[in-house]
Amino acid sequence: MRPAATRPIWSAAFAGLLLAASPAAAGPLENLERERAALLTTLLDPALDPDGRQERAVPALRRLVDLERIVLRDPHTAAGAGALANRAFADYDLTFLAHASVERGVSPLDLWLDRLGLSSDRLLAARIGLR
Amino acid sequence: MRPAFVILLAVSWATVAWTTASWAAGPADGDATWRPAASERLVRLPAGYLERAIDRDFQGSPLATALDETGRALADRNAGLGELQAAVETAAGDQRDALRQRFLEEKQAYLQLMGRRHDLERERLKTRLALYERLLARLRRGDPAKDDPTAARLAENRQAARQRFETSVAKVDMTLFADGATAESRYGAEYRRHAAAIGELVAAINAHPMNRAPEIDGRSVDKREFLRHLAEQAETELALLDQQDLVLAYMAKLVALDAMAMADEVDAREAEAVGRPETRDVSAAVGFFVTPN
Repeated sequence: MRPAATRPIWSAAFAGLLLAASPAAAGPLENLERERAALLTTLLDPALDPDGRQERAVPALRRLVDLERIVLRDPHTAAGAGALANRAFADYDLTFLAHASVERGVSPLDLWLDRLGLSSDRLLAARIGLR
Repeated sequence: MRPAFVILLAVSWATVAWTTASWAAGPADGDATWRPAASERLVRLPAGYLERAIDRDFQGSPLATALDETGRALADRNAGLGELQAAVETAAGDQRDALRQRFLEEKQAYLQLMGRRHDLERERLKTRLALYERLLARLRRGDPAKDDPTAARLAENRQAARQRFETSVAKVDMTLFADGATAESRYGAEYRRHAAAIGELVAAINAHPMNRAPEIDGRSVDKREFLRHLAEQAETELALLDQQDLVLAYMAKLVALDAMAMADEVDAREAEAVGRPETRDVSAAVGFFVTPN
């Protein structure tokens, strides 16, 4: 679907963004963000072969499912989380990636990239240049 | 007997003035107070139990003790007034006057006592009303989504996310865990077990008589609406108390008028008994002047 050469770039960019955004306090939402970043990093890691990626992604996905359920079921999750909670609940697909991807019948990575507007067609049509 | 009437008269008018002024008065007694707190415990109590908890708190206050004592004293005086009224009707002469005077004094004391009771009752109702308003304010503070659009949007999004999750959770379980390749996590297994226990407990709590939602006119209402209803009731009782104060003021005025009438009556009777000469016509004394000394 996506050219393999683009993956390292996205991997580094997303992992950096996500991990840098993670605050030190470990509430359910913060843990969810961190776990999702870890899963995406694994899925985008060019150093892993398919088996190694699968081996690391499955338990990460299971942890992500648990964390998403904790956040969704806990009525106090949003309390005190402020802007983080507002952002998180404003976009179900991005925040609850594991559940949304199963619901839509796509892989978590595909859904993630799609929600960010990064489809294969758009990437192939992109040109390198200065802005 | 006359000075006693003058004093009674003065006190009776003072009672009228005091009864009228007491409408706008504050606490009746510095010691007879009730200071309930709009505590977190009270806010969290089931709505159906809230009123009983407030009543129980009131019953333990000095204000409740003062109200009980005044109520008992009023009942005693009420019985005494009935006996005195019957005795006045059968008595005669000086004894009747003495009994009438005592009857007036007793009526005046009854009115003062009733006025005090009204003050205490007003204090109880105002305190209760203030408590309901504080509880309502705390409930409003506990639900910021009512006033804050951002919080309201977040609550709305949370609700939508929760609904979407509930509709997809079975499919997610089937997809991720049904093939056995991925074992269900400890959280998932424990959550299901706890959720079943919680479901049973919640059902028992909902069915518990102490947790039954309060009703207004046969309609179940939430805690906020029930508190508003209680506040309305307290305001209604305050309005009725104002009307009772007016009745009391008219009673006091009647006592004062009775005292005036009785003072006049006794005065006239005493004047008649002494036989004071009345010089009505100056011509009757002409003889003293026309004869030379």
